[in-house]
Amino acid sequence: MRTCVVLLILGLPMALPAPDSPPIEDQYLYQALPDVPLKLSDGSEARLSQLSSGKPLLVTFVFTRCAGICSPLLRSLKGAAAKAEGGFRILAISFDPRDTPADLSALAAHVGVAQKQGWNFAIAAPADMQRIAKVTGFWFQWDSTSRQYDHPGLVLVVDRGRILRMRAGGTVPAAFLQEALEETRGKLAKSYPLPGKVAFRCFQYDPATGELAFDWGAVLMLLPGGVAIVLAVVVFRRGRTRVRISMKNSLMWP
Amino acid sequence: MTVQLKALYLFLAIAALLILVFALAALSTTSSIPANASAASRLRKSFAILLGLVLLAALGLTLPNTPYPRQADVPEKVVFVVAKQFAFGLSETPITTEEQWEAVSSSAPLEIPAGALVEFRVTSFDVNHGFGVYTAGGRLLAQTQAMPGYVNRLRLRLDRPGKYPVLCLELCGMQHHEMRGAFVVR
Amino acid sequence: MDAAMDRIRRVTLVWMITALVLFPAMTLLGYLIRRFQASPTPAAHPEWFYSLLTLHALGMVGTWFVSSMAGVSYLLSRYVRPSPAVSLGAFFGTLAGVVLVCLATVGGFFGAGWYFLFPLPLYPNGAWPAWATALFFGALALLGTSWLVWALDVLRAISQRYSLSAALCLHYLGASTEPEVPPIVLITTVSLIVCISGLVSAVIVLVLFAAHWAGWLNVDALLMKNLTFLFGHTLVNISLYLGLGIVYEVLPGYAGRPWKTNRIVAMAWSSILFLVLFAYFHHLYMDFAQPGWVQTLGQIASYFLSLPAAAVTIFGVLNLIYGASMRWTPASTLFVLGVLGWAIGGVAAVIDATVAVNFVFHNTLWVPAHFHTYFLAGLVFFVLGFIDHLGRELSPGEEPKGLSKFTVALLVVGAYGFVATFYWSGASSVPRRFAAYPDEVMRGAAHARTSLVFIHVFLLGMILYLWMAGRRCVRALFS
Repeated sequence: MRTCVVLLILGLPMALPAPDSPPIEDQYLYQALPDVPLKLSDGSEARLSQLSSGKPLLVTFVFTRCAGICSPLLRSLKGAAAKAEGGFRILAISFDPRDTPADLSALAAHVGVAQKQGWNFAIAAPADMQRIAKVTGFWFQWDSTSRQYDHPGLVLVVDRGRILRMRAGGTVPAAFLQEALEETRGKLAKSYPLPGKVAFRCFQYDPATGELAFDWGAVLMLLPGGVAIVLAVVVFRRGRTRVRISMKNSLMWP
Repeated sequence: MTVQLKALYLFLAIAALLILVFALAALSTTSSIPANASAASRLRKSFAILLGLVLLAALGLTLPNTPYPRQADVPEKVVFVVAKQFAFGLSETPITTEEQWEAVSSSAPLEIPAGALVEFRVTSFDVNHGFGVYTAGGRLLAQTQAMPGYVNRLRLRLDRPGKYPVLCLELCGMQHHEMRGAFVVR
Repeated sequence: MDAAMDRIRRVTLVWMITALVLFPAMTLLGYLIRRFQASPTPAAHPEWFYSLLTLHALGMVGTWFVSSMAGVSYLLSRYVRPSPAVSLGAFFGTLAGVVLVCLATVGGFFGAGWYFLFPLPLYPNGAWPAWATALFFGALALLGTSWLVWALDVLRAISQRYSLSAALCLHYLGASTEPEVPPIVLITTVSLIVCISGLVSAVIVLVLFAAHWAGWLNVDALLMKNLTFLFGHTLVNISLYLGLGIVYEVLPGYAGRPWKTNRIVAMAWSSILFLVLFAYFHHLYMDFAQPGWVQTLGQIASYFLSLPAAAVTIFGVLNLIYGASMRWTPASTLFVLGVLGWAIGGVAAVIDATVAVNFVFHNTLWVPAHFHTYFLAGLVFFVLGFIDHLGRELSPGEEPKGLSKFTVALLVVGAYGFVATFYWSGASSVPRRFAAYPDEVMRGAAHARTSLVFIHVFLLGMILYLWMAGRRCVRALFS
């Protein structure tokens, strides 16, 4: 559940994401992404709003020289996207000023995705990247010993320019993506349970299908009706040896 | 006209009709009219069909109009609400501990922009409460239950600036009637 | 009259006299509750308000459930033999339960409301001690067990003469009218099956409460709320149905025409058996955690419950009296007025059972408005009518006609004036169950002050009624 992330990191400062902690989804929900210009891997230019218009957009942040989570994250996203239904675009934005369109093409080829599958790789100007970072909680820091950027893995689900869902971490579960895409199509959960061990939930929200599934609590809800019917049947079966009672009409009629 | 007044007028009209019909039936007992079973049966049939159609029409008109969030718009802002005996804490950032709740429930009312679609994510730290959004003049605009273990999403667009009190709409203990919260639309 | 019949008669009189004592007492509590709300100043002792509210509600629900049960059992004894011993046992169980509930509320200030929504009883916040909660739960267990045994015994009595399908009049659906089953048998069978499901639900709620309290389980609040309303809604609902059973059985005698089971009556009541179990979902519309299809089902079931009510029972009563040579006595007048009150309250209920309307009506005073309409001007009138009918049958003698008319008029004016103040408050967003009103909804205090006038009128009518009908019952009991 989306709030697991929140509760697992209880006690951390809530205001701004400190380096070394991933951003918390609940803090950035419904934030509007700035409409920044992007340079795409094929050398063309596009604005972010063009990519997010008409279809949901999945956004993630990478740099091509990453020896850490960038490639595994992209592969995980690719796997989840292959299982998900419906039209959407994917945008991987590089935050490394050294990256060129050619670097990005190489990364796309390395991961095995192409633009016609809805994948876009792009470079944002450093100032624009800062504006994006501000509304998403994404951060990156140059670590001179490892000669790598330190950064969290992050996937945003953007609908009509606003952050609908967000997931931090090195992998993207297919269930998360499915649930988020269902939400963009209007299958919105009106409510969601908080994590915690609770006995007999009535309706368990199933993120894999986006549906509420029956749980043992629902069985308990059907029990009273069932017991009443069974008791009635038992009582009436016992009464089979019926005693004829003579009517006492004179008793009631005034 | 508010939903409340429409409902009241509809109720009064049907109640008046019922009283009239019962009065006519009662008055008819002064003159002896022989029972006509087949006429009654025909009338009952037409009445049942008519009532069934009215009910279906009312269902068709009202069922699509539920207060539950839909994906027609993406909200521009999310407000986290935690109810606890006996106050509502409203915050722009998630409230996950009692200390955070203490801080937000006693601080100045949260501000939300006028005309913006806001999603309230409502839950409770103890018992069931009711998150009832009122106008300053005391008209109930919207509500959802604050249930422990669940987060209910209530979406609301408020155009008129001003202070909006929140009252508790589920019996929650001895200070239930004093339990409040508030936010300001600017 | 044989000895068995005499025992049934006596135990019925005991129940009715008890109702005549409990009802004014609980009405006085209602008066005190409205007194609290009428005050423009903050409540000095809200613990009194909430504990009296709990006692008033449970007391009223219990009083009208047992009196309609007792009335129906008595009338059923024309056809079958419910055990007077079980009825008497239920009487003592109820009496003990009432004492325990009084101790828990007035003595221990237990104030979580009559349906004690989980987990409020366990979070008193210093308002009541743990023993009060335990006592309240003990009382509920005692009441529930007594009533469950009683309901099973009445079903057993019916089973001695009718098979289950005959008692549910299923053969009428296939156009067969043999064996002939009086409507009261059908209505009682349907109501008691529903009643048992409600009581079983209460048992599950109590067990889960105990398990949660003991720390064995962490119970889901949404499940508890569903079960709580399955219990609360059905218990209240079937009390009304049993009251209607009385009307179906007794009113034809005053109209001089029969009111028999036929295909449409059978269809209506079997559809009720099915629909009533889904109607309670309308109590959870504002729990967005409940799936959308459950909410839709709740609205559809609530809407379509009104169809058999209107086309069969209300139409049936109007058809029965239309042009009939009615004997208008307090009993027959109260029956017809009661059906009218049930219908009007039902209209308000259906309006509130609309999700879009419930959004601004849920837990406002519209809710007590509608249920006081079909209780106070509905079920109460059915039972008072039955008491009048019973009293006249067992202890003849006439009051001045003007006095009975005046009494009924006072009851009607008092009841409708009283509920009008609730509707007025509900339509103007005043929340229910507030010990005192905050400034935004202070108009609720003015409405409460108006309601006090009508409570006086109603109580005056009640005193006159007690003097007439109560005397007859006492006379009949000791004759």
